[in-house]
Amino acid sequence: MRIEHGTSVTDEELVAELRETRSESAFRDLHRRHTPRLLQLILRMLGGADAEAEDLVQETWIRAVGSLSAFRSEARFGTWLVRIAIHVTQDHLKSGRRVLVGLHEETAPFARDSMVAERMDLERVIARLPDGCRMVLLLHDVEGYTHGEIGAMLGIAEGTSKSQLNAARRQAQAMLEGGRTRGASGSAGVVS
Amino acid sequence: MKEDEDVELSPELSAGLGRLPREVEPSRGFEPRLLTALRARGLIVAGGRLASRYAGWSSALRIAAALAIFAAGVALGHRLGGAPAPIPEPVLAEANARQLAALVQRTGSAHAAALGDIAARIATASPEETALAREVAMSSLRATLWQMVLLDPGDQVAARMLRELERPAPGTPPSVRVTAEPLVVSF
Repeated sequence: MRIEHGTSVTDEELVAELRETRSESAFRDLHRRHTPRLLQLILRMLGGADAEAEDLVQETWIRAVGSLSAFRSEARFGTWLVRIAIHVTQDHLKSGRRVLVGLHEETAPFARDSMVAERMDLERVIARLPDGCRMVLLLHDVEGYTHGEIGAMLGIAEGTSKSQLNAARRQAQAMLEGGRTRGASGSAGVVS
Repeated sequence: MKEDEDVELSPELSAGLGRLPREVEPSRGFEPRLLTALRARGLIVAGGRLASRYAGWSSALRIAAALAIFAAGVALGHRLGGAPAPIPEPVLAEANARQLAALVQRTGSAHAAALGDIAARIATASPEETALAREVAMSSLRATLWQMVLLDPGDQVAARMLRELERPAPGTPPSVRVTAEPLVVSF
């Protein structure tokens, strides 16, 4: 099989070509489609440890390409990749090799009314959530997965996913409220 | 898609989450690093599509390369009066990758050892003998490089070496030309 690559080529066709010929070109197309999303998700799951996020994306691709035979085309390739990325990130978080940088550091105050400042505040809030809560919040409220899907991805019960989400939302909203109160009294940044 | 939750998202949090970017571009060096890591593990092959395009005639060229070595061996044998070099059977037979790699390793060692012997005797050899030894060594080197290029069409080092070897002598019409990036092999 030989495919002229372009936007009309599906992930499944690229995966089939990669499986068949180990084509670097097919892999490059898949990587360019999926890496930006994977990187953003892993970055947030790590709580902003951007120094490690690319390493984990690389590990995700190594595991994924190494186990392509396990991919079933009835699942979406992107979802399958996210699942691997979650396992890679969980392994990393459990290993204790985590380096907390970036979003945890206090930065120079932004103009308080800017969109960028709001986004950074929210990123900091997400980064400060406990690992389990953060993952569920990201997968449910940012990525749009159901509790059933999240349960399968994280290896937890659906009910656990729901309770983690409740806790995450409660904490996130409290942190945002706290930040707004402090901001109104003249202090920049979000506090927990 | 989403179930009802006990804790509703506040409008502020909901809007904020909705505005978060879903993608971020990796650093410029990430893609080359990733490709290198995958190649090193044999999970992807540089120019994999090119390799598969040439797959139909790569076996023919493999045989041609074997015959080139054979012809060089015959020529050397006749000139030196010894027995002709045999075609290594597994090159032509359906051997698995491990067996072929072992064969390459074995014959490569023998090849290097023979060249070492020739080099050791070069001081006492005649100019004709020296020229013959060099000609045979170049033939086998050329055949080896062709195989290297077929094995990995993205191997620019092998392509460059082959191009240098195939560069026609001044005044000689080129019969074979190899170019680099993108790799084109023409006859």
